[in-house]
Amino acid sequence: MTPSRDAYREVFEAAGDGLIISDVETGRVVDANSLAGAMHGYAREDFIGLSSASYITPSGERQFLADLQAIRPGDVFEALSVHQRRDKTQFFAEERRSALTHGDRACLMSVVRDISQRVESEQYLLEEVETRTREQATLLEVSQTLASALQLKPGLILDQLRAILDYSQAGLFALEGSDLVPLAVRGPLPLEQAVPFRIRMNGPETLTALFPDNAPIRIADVSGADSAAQYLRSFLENQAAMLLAGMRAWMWVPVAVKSEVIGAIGVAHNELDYFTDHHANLALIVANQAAITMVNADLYEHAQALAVLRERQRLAQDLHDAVNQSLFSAGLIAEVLPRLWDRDNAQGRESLDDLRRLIRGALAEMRILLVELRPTALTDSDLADLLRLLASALTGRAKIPVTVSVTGKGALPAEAQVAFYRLCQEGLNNVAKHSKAKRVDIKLQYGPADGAVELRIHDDGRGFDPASIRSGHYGLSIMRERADAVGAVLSIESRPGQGADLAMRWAPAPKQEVA
Amino acid sequence: MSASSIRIMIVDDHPMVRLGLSTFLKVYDDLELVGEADDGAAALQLCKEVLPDVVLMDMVMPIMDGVTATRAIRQQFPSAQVIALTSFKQEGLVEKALQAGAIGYLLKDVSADKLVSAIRSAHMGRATLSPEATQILVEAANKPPPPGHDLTKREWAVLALLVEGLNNTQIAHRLGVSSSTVKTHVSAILSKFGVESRTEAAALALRHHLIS
Repeated sequence: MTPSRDAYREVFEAAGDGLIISDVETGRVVDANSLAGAMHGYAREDFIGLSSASYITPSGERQFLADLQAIRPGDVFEALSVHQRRDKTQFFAEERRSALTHGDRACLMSVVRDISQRVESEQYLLEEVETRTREQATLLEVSQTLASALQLKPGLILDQLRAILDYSQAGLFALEGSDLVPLAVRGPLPLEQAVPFRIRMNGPETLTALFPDNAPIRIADVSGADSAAQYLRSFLENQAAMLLAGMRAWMWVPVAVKSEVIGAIGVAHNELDYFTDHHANLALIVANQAAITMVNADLYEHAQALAVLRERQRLAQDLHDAVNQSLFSAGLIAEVLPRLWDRDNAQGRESLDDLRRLIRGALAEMRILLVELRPTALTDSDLADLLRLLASALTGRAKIPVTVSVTGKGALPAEAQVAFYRLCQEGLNNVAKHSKAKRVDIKLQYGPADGAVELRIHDDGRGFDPASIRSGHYGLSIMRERADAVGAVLSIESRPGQGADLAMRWAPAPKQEVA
Repeated sequence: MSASSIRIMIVDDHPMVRLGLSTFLKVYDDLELVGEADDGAAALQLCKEVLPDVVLMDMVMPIMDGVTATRAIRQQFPSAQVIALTSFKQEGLVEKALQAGAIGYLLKDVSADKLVSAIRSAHMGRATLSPEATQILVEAANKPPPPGHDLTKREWAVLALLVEGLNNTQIAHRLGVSSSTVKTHVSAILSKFGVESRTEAAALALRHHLIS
């Protein structure tokens, strides 16, 4: 027995894993190798005799006690539990448990392996993966938001940057000439309120100095002696010292399109040497997206200006055409009027009326043309006068009498006034083109106290079924858009054979007064 | 009205123009207004009923434009003459109107006297053009022919491949002819274009959109 007992002890001690034998009945350690003791911070002798509660944390111990009762010869249970050392520190343990008879007692042998390192590295990996996944998702989101935004939202770019790169303060700058102009800054309130300001650079060559390779520049210590830090201080200290206040680390990220720098993102952190290469790469991706948005926004603005110009030209052309037609007609009538008069007095008188109306109409069209060419006239003039102009033009153009009645008095914000004018213009155009109306009544009502304004255009024409008109027709969708844009309510009522009623009501929003 | 009066139809989407024209027609005994329409399609319908001798036709109208209506009227009612009466004087429009069968092209600044004589001329099958329309036509006729107007079919094929950047051997291979034949074609193209090199020829072809 003795040799085998020694051999057993040798194997026991030589095992690469901790070995613990516990009594099934008491749950106490009846034997263990030195390694098992060392794992838990005990000498082997001290470890023997411990209850399971003293080296396994409660949740793991419950499973241990259950296994202790359940285990039968031939069973192998595997468990992952958190063990506790003598000094109360913990570690992850992987156990293989099997049944064993030890000196006549039914026992359970655990082969214990400390896997803390593995678990930790797995967790680290998991966290890494999560971080990267979050970064990827944020970058994707950045890219999607920016790509879908036609107007530049510089603040949004910085906010999204913060989701993947923790900074204390940051600014997105556009390059205007050789000035850096902040489009947005993020940081303490006084800094954010300092916008707008300009940072003058010493000529274009300084920018090349800022981004020698169009690559981000990391400055570990803003008060350091290296040239990048000195250079940063040289133009920030006098012009935007706030950007540096309390900051230790700085990073410049160029905003460039096709290697031409159009701006920069500056991020700062109050921790020394905070920014890593990885940060620089992330920020550069966001900066590239920002560059695309800036260019897009620019193009969009141009396109919008162009569209407005085109629309104005089209209107001017239409009006010019209308004036031409009226004058051509008036000229013909004037030319034949003397002969007409000789032949038939009454007829001559009637034609003279036509002539007068045509010329008045042409005059109105001319004045509208001037209004269209000088858009401030639209907002400077009295709305009622503008409506009378449109009415008089319609009478001349379509020989439909139009009345304009105005009740109350008031003033409108510029956009609302333009919306009313356009609605009337569009509405009268529809009347002229489609209604075959004999009479049109325009009513403009200024609300007595609430500042609300209502315009109503009624015609006695052939009407239509509003439900059957697709929104693309008769400029209805444009009317709705215009009404929506100024927060006005548009209503269209008509029935076949019953004429039509077009109305728009606008009321000042409470907050509008503050703005 | 007398039996010999000229039956006139007015087609214009502007009511005030119809008003002016109808007033104008009242003072001439030999002119009789037989119908008014506000677009080409309506005009075509009305022609069947009123059989006009002369139609005063606006060019730019909704539903059916003046050119289309002119062509249809001239086809279905050959005895009706059409005078295009428009405020537009684009080059294309004059030619299109005349090709569609209009016998006159007048701008909406014509005097009553001119208009009445144009109507009488049209009724007799004589053309009247506004000075502007005449000038547009003369300019169009005097335009130098576009480069390439004298290229043969084979030379066009060679030019197309030349523009693609192919060399003579490649062009020969593509067209299934010998390199020397291609060389001859290329020389012909250069001389007809009046250029020195195939690069210049390609540039010229692209500039004038000769090759799509």
